[in-house]
Amino acid sequence: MKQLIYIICCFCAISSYAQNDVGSINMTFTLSQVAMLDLEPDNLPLTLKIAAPNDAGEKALIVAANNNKWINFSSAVFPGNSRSISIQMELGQKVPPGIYLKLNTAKYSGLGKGELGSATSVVTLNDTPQTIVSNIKGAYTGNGDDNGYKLTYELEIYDYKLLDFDQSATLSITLTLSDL
Amino acid sequence: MKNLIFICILVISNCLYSQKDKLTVSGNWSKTFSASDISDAGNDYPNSFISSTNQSLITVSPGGNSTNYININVLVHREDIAWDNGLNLKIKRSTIGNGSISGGLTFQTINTTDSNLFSCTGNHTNVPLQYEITGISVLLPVPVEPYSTTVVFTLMN
Repeated sequence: MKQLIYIICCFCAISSYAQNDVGSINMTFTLSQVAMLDLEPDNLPLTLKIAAPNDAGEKALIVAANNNKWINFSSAVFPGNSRSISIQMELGQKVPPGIYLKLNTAKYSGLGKGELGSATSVVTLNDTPQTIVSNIKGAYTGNGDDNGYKLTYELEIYDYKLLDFDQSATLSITLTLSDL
Repeated sequence: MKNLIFICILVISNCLYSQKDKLTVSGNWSKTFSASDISDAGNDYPNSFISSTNQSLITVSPGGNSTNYININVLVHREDIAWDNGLNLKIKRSTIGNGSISGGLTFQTINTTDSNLFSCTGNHTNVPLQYEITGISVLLPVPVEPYSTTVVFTLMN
């Protein structure tokens, strides 16, 4: 009996001495959906021209200086969601008669990461939205020239008799990164 | 009589040392990441985000009184509620403090198992703690529920 009392007393002393305390705090990190897009090197206007041929009988010359832009974007989506980039001219705007304004979207290149989507090769621009990059999920292209999707604008003459060399048009083109 | 003396000694000893080590901590960290944290389209989030220098305040009282100069360790680990393995949560003490507290002055990863944060003797009140989170990326799925974890501090002598 005495031994039992000793043991109990010893246990109480040891267990009390060995007590430790615990505290805690909570960490909460909320990620939002992200949809950011811009053009590099800038969104200044491009100028495309059709010039007279050098010699009679030759095709008209299509002059396109600095006709490239790069699409940069950052995208964060809910699981299972994806986005696309569409392009259109402002509603009601038209390219001068006899010519098409075409856009070639190259394959992705650059320093980005993630599910960057895939490009539709060539579209003829008009005032209805057309998808040029699809299936974008969580991704970023990298920033600046040589990152993202390279856009090349070109003119194509489809009917010479409709051409009017005094005619010009200023077109506003909108690119939109949106959920599918 | 001997037995009585022995029991008394044990009881007195128990009373002297039975004051429980005390630890209290306050200051959760909640942060929302959005497009405004990304410098320009085409970029990812910055590599890391750092909390305020006194995001949490921890008070330790070894043995429950300031005259108890037993060396104690404060351990830290995390218990995940909703987490992604790409996230890395770090912690440090943000002030040097006096000479009776040491360690924990550089960011160290908070793992799911205990690691020593700092050691000290005597009472230390409102020791400021700062956190760093790395791995926040647009590549992570945007969760319906936030990423969350509980950071647990254990005072051990």
